[in-house]
Order: sequence, then structure tokens, then C-alpha cells
Amino acid sequence: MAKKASTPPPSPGNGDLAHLQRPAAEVLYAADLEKLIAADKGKPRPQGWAITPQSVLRFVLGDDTLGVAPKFVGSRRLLERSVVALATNRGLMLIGEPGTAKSYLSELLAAAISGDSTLTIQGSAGTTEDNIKYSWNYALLLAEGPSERSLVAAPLFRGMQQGKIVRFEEITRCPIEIQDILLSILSDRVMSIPELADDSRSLYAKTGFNVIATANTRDRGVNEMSAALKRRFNFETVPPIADLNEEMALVQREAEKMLRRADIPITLQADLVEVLVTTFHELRNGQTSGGKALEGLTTAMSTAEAVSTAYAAGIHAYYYGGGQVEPGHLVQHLVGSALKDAPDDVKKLEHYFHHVVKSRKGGAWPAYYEARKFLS
Amino acid sequence: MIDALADIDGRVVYFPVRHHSPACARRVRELIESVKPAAVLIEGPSDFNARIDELFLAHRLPIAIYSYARIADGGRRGAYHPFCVYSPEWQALQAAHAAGAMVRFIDLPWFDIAQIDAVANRYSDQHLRRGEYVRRLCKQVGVESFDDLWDTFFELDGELTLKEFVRRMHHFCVHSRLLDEHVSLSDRRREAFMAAQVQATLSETPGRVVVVTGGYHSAAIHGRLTGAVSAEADEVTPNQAERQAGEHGIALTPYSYERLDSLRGYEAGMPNPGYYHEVWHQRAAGSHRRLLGRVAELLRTRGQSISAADLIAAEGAAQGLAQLRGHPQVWRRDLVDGIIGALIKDEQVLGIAHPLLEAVHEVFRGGERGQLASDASLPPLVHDMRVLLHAHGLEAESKPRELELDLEAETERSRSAILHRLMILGIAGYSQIGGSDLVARTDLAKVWEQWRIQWSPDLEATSVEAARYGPTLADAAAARLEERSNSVERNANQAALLLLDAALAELTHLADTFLERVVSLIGSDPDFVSVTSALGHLLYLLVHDHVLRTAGRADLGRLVHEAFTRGLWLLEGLGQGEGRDRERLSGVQALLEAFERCHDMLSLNRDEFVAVLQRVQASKHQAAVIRGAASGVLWTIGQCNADEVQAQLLLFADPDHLGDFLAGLFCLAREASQRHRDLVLSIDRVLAAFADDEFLAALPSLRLAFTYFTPREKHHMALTLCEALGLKPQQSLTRIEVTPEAAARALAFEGRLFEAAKRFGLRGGDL
Repeated sequence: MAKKASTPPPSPGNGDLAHLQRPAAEVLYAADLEKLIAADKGKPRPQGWAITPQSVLRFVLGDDTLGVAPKFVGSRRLLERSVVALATNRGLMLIGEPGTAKSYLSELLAAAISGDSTLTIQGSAGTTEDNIKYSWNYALLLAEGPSERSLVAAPLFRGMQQGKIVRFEEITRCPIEIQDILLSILSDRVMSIPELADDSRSLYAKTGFNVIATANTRDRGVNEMSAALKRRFNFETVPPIADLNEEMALVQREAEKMLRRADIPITLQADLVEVLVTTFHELRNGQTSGGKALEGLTTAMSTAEAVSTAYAAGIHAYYYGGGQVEPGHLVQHLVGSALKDAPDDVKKLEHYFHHVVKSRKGGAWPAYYEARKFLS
Repeated sequence: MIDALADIDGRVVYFPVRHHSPACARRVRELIESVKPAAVLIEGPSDFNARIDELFLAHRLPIAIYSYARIADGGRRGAYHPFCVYSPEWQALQAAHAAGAMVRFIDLPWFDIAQIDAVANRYSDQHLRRGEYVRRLCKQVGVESFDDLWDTFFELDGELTLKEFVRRMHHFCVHSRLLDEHVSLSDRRREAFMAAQVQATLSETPGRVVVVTGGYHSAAIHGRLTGAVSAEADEVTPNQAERQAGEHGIALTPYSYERLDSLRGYEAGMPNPGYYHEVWHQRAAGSHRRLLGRVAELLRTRGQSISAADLIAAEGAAQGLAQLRGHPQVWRRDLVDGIIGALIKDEQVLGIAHPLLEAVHEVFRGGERGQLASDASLPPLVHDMRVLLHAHGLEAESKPRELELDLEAETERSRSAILHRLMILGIAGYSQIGGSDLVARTDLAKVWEQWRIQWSPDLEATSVEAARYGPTLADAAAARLEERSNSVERNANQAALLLLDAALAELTHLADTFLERVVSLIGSDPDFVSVTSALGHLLYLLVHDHVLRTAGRADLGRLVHEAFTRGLWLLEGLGQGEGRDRERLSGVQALLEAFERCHDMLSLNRDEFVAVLQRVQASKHQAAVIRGAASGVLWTIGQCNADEVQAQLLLFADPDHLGDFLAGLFCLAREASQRHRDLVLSIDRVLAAFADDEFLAALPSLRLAFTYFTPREKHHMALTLCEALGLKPQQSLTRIEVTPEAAARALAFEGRLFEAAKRFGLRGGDL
């Protein structure tokens, strides 16, 4: 498979797109990419890139004139810096709290730049060198000895060979020595395969190759990463959505999309989304909209968690309630799906209800305050 | 319309500017040099025209024209027209002067509109910044803010001819004005006045005239002259007689880039003066490297390691960004983003300044400080100071002298205020060496101060230096305090101390922004002890202080309310102790005092207060000492009775917690608890039930708890106990002739002895 460098595959057995739980970004947004490729015809771009850097921005942030939909809510400057980093000889490291859409952003960037977001290494405590570089088909290895035929390429190998962006998810969950495999690859852009014959012993990266790594600042931060590796990456912090209204719109849209997919004909009222997202927003920022400092939770309170809370509340209301989402549903799932198992956080949430929610009038706030009984 | 407006070959040329834009400054110079007009009319205070020659002396920029006036409510207000080397107005002035043209300011004197226009920076960008047009353009162009938009259109496009530049400016300004919601009365009055001035000049001179104003006003002035815009009744400038009424004045004063950069909101102008200063002097491509070098230098002096490779990466990223954004050379935002991208290797946390970014901002802010030319009159502050010091007999002489002031005496009080203002500004030669401590508030029977005054060679230098804060001692001290408040972060206590300083210096008319800042410092402080200690200071100022005459001030009331609410909020979030019990208890005391003294005056909510305390009292997460304190407060304000307190006491009847609980209770309900017979008996019963080693374990914290009582009160309690138990004390409590430690050791030894005796069966049964 490593030999056949070409556009990615809905590979064997994938069948009809409509039945995939989650198609890759380049498949889902193929139409947008086509438009941008057409618009970019003949324009200069970094070697090996499918579209120009400007078009990468258009793909991610949307473009009215070309009819490209926005896909990511975030700062343009952050994105500009990220795209520029990928065009230089440094890798891009996206860091941030869980649930800030780092992986999604890296997927979009890879899809836009290389037309392929599937060269992905999932970092974990068990990630080995084989998962990153290459391993062997042992039957062939025994029969024929080491050769390019018996080599099984892992994502990094394929990215270098095909000149594509490789995504390294949750890189900080790997042991340091595994992370450091990237050192020589990022600086010398060559991977050595000592087992092979002289002429194919070194794999030189084709233009267009680069690495986007993501790391979560909550569980095992980037502090333990070696200084040498840090130096080879440009770091970008992906912040939670700063604008409350944008976040509300996003949560409403995504939660309703999920509900529709689950065939649940429920819409979320805007005032409920408001109380929910405001709660998440304020607890996450450690600050009320009036500028009062709050004690932060140990839970990340990400937008993604807000979406799943709204979704869970919708399901609850549909199957066990009157088909109408009530503040009580929100509070119950706030505890269940967002706070998980953190009794201290529940206490801080109670504090938030007593000192912030209580004083708010209008909309769903009073009813939300009444629903605090579900906290304990 | 734009065609006529942008005609630079006509008799009157309208040159629109954004104040403090280097591009406009360069172009206006170019225009004046090529047109050679008979007159150049500039947006600036026309009451300075008589002294306009002062602007051609050898000043070191930045400087400002300062106008002040006493307005109807008795307050004194001032406004600035700041100039730096790259100000279009400054360059127009100098170019016109060099070309021998007549130069005049044509704006209304500031005191004519001081009542209806509160913006103090008269060269702010408020008009251009706001509005739908800018918002939409930003989206279209793909930039995030007005400043970036401006850079893209005007600062960066060096290829434009002068004609194209002027046309583009007019186009931009006319459209932003068209989509603006409304034009304020003060703007219409000013525009009517400016149009009249242009008209007058035209009839005075036959030559060509260049009119340099904020781009927002150009079209309006042009419209009035051509008759396209007709004047409305309310635009009439007050007549001469009315105008002279009231105290007002105008003077040159030094200014600084720090001040220019710190302007926000309506006051905001062009950011990053240090950056544009650099660009003005050195515009060639590649000049950003010097700034990058300076950032690196600053970071290295702060102990950060920045390697050459890092700099190359930052430079590369900045170049890449400039290219991506279509900039012909690396510009402001490209450089900042290049540095962020390549050098920051850790998480950027919302609301917390990253040290690296701080260094970048510092370099971009620049450190220029203005100084008036030596042949110009001294800055107004120095003059004001001399007059005041002379009038109050506070002049510094070479021979040191000491001064004792009794603050209760009216005259001495105002002398003290002047001295405090000098202290706030750091004027050399004046120092306070003794007096009452209003921070600790220990002995306030007589409020006095002791000062030492001695002339020092730095006196002159420090006062000229301080002149950049304002033209009068009061204004300058207030501005300095505001500046200090901006450097405080999340600390209510420091904010309250600043307020105390302000009260001592009698700066009663502090700007609203200062109070807002204090409110936000209280709200953002996460520390219970700091907030409640601030509450203590504020409460003193609001309730007790008759010396500083702050008692009952409404703005203080609001702050006390804020600190009280915040204190309650934080009280509930306190967890198990971290060893600051004393401070925490003083905090609860401050809350109780605030509630008892001010709940009527400030309508503090009793239900809320009680609800929080009850939750604290019942919460398993709170430390025993705080739960004891909560019980004490509830008992003191009559919200619960002694039986409930005793029930609480039993919850803490173990050696680890009893002392802490009692410390809290005694501290907050000192009166009630020492007189209450049943409570004393309950404590006795709990204690009597302790085994020896348990008692010893509880002893230290019990000792601490009882220190809240005076010896006399302790004696009284002991008597109560003895009576209740039916004992007759032969004498007052026995004084042991050894230290408590020795006594405790003896007791412990005794305990072990009995234990051993029991183990070996030497004494049968219980002790």
C-alpha cells in the first residue's frame, strides 16, 4: 500500500459514504476543496501543497465569494501563524485544554494542505517506534529477507514518502523516548532504515511533508517534552471560544445536529442554551461576565462538553420527559456528563449557583437556579 | 462628492488624518512642501494660537497642549492634544513653519465643549474605530481589528501617490461616517466652528490654504463651506461673554509614550507608539530586525535564553506571515505573530500576560518621555507646585527641618494633603518619618504626622519629571495613582491602600475609571484575606473617618458593598485551613462589622448574609475555625440561640477540632460566649470527657482559643464555671511558677507514669 501514492481511498469495505459514522474531512468537504483547487490554478504555493496558503485559510474559516462554508470558530491570526509554521521547516504543535477542537483543526489543515488527513499516529502510553516509522510483514521477511516489499510503512514513513502532512495526536501521552524519534526526522528530514540495502537505506522526505502534533495541557503537559523537540516545533495554543454568542450558536447547531442524527425531533430553546453555555464559559474562564473571579474547576468545561451536555439533556427530555428540555435536565447532565467524578467540582458548581446564578433575572435563569436541587 | 473633497489642486486642500499616523504625517509634509500654501489650518485648540510659537522651540517630544477648566459641578477637568514626532499635526506645524506659511489651530477651545464631551484625549480615534463600516471591511479584508485594517490600507501601501492617498483617506472616512449611528452635538459644534475659521482665513488671504483635520471631520467642514451641509441652531458657539466665564487655561506640558499607549476605549489612539516611532525614523524594509533584536535583548536581560536559531525562526515566521497577508514588508502584527509562533513554547493562558509578550509590548510601547525646551516656560506643574508650597510654608531649604502636623486642625490637614501628593509623585526632599498608622489603625486617639523636609538637588528634576502626569499637583497625583492602580493585579487590599492614599492626599475627584478599576480589583481578587482586609480599610474610611472627611461618601459605600459581597462569596469557597486562621478570623470579623454598621446605609441583604453563614456553618468542607466563626456571627446577630451553638459544639467535641471551633466562636461572639453559663458548662463537660493524652493534644489550640479573652474575662469565666459546679474557689486561679511548656511536659510525664502503673497493675481499676 505504501507504494501506491495517490489520493486517499475510501479503502476496502468502506462502501457508501452515507453510512460512515464519520468520514474524513477531505471526503466530507471534497466539494470545497475542489473549488479551491480550481481557484488556485497556476498560483505559487509551497512545494507539495495542494492549495495555496491563502486557500487553506479560506477552507478553514470559510469564504463567501467562493461559497466555502466556515468549519472552525477561532482566531484568524492563530490560523495564519499555524499555516506559516507548516510552510517552514518547523512542525506545528497545537496545544490547549481538552475539547478545544485541536484534533479537528489538525485534520482540517492536513486535508487542505495534503488532501489527506488519514496519516495519523495516535499517541498513547503504548505507542511504539513500529507504530510511527515502519514494521515488517514477518512472513515476507522470513521468506525474502528485509526488502521494500516486506516493509510495512507506518504513517510517518508514508508522509515522508508521499510528501504529506502527518498528524501526531496526543503526543505528550507517549514516553519521551518515543517522542524524540521525531528529532532527527524534523531536523534532517530523513529516516534511516538500516535493514535495507544501501540504495534504499535512507528515506528522504518529499516536499510537502510536515508534522502537526496535538497535546493536551490538562493531563500530561508539554513541560516534560525535551527541549530539543520543542525547538523543532512552533507552538500554538488553541484557546476555547472567546465569544459567548459564537459559542452559543455553535453549541445549539452541533447539539441539534447530533439529535437529528439520532432521530430525535427536539429543538433546544435559545434561553436554555444561553444558561448552559454561559455556565460553561464562565466556569472555564474563571470569571463571570461581570468580571468577578471564580474558582476554576478541575474539569475542563470545554465547548465539546457543553455540546454533549445539551445532547444528553435532549435525549433525556425526549425519552423520559415531556419532550421539552427543562433546566433540570441540563443540571442533571451537567453533573453527569461534564463534571464526571469530581466532588470538589460539584461543590464549586453549587457555589456558582448560589453567588452567580441566583442574582440573574430573566430568561431561563430563575428556573435554572431552582433546578440546583439536582446538584446533590 | 469625494472628487471635490479629494482635489489637491484647488485653492483649499482638505487633508484628512488619523491622529498619530506616521503615513499621514509623511504625506501631509509632502503636501505642504509641494503646495507651498499661504496658510495651514490644523485641528487643535484655537485658544493656543496666541502662543503657537512656543511649539517651534526645541522641545523633546512627546509633549501635549493641556487645556483645563472648572466645570459646572465644581470639578476640575482637563484634556490633552498630544504630539509625538510622527503626529501629522506636528509635522504639518513644522513643515508650515519652515515654508513660512501662516499656521493656526482652528478647533473650538476645549472649555467650550467640556460640559458635553468627556473625552480627555482630543486626538483619540473614537470616530474611526467604531461603526459598521470598519467591522465589515475587517471581515472582507481578513484582519481582526481596526488597527490592522488601518495598517493594511494606509501605513503599508507605500506605492500610492499623494493624490491617491488623499483620495483613499477621504473615501474611507466618508464611508465610515455615513454608516455611523449619529454625529454628536460636540462634533457638530466643533465642525461649525472649524468651517467658520476656514472661511475667515479665506477672506483674509488670497493664497492657497491647507486644512489638516481628523478625517472624520473633513467632509463635514467641506460640506459647510460649499453649502451642502447647513448649520443647525444648536451648533452656535457660545458668545464671547459666556465663554470667558469660569476658570480655564491652557499650557504646554511634557507627555510620554507610556501614557499614549495606555489610552483605552473612547480615549484610544494609535497603539504601540514605540513601533511607529521606529517606523517613522527608519522605514526601509528590514527595519523590523532592529525591533526583534531589541525584544531579544530585553528577554535576555530578564534571564530568558533566546538563541540565534530562535531569532532566525521568528524572523522566518514573520516574513512568512507578511507574505501570507500580502504585506510588502514585515509589519507590526507580522512581527508580533512571528515572535509568538516561533518563541513561545508553552500554553498561553487567557487573561494572564505571558512574559515574552510583555517584553514585546514593552519594546513596542517605547520609552520616550517628553521634555519642554529650556527656553520655554517651565511645565505648569512646576509652577503650580511653587505657588502651593509657598502659600503653605512648605518650601524646601538646604537646612533640614521636621514638621509635626495635627490632622484634626483644618490648616494642617491641607498642608498634609499637599505633602502626600508630593509623596505620591515621588518628589525628592519630602518624606514622612512618623505619625499615626492609618493602615493598621492601632492608636487613633490623636491623628498626627511627622514630616521631614530638606532641599535636594533632585527636587527640580523629579518635579519636571512628574510634569508628564499633569499640569497641577492634584491632577498629577491623581494620574499617578491611576497609573499605580493599573499595575496592581487581582489584589483588593492594595487597591484599598491606594484609595487610602487618595484620601490622605485629598484627591476626592478621582476619575470614574479609577473607581471602576478598584471595583474590578475587588471583584477579581481570589483571596479571602486580602478582600476582607480591603473591606477593613474601606469600612474605616466610610464609617469612622472624620479626619480625612471621607465618612459617608457614596462612592466608598459602593466599594464597601462590593467588598462585602465579594468577601461573602469567597468565605463560602474557603476550604480546609492552610494556617492563616488569625487572618481569616479577622476577615470574618470585618464582614460582621460591615454588616452591623452598614446594613441600613448600604442596604446589605440580611437573608443573603444569613444564608451564606448557615451554609458555611453546616459545610463539611470548611475548617472548624471558620465553622465556629460562622456560629459566632449567627449567634451575635441573633440568628441562632445558645442551644444551637451548643449543638454545634458537640459536633466538634474531639481533641483535633475543639480548640479551632472555640477560637472561631470566641473571636466572633466574644461577649455572648463568656457570659453564657450553659455554654461554659458544655465546654467543661466535653473537656472532662477527654482522656489525658487527648487533652494534651487539644491543649495548644485551646490555649489559642482562650487568648481571645482578656485575663479579666477568663477569670470571670472560671468563676461562672465554679459557681455552676458548686465549687468555691479559695483563691483566683493558681499561678503555676513554671512555663506552660514545662507544665505540659510534666502533665504528659504524669500521664505516661499512670499509664505504666496501670499496665503493671500497680493501681487497680480506674484512676
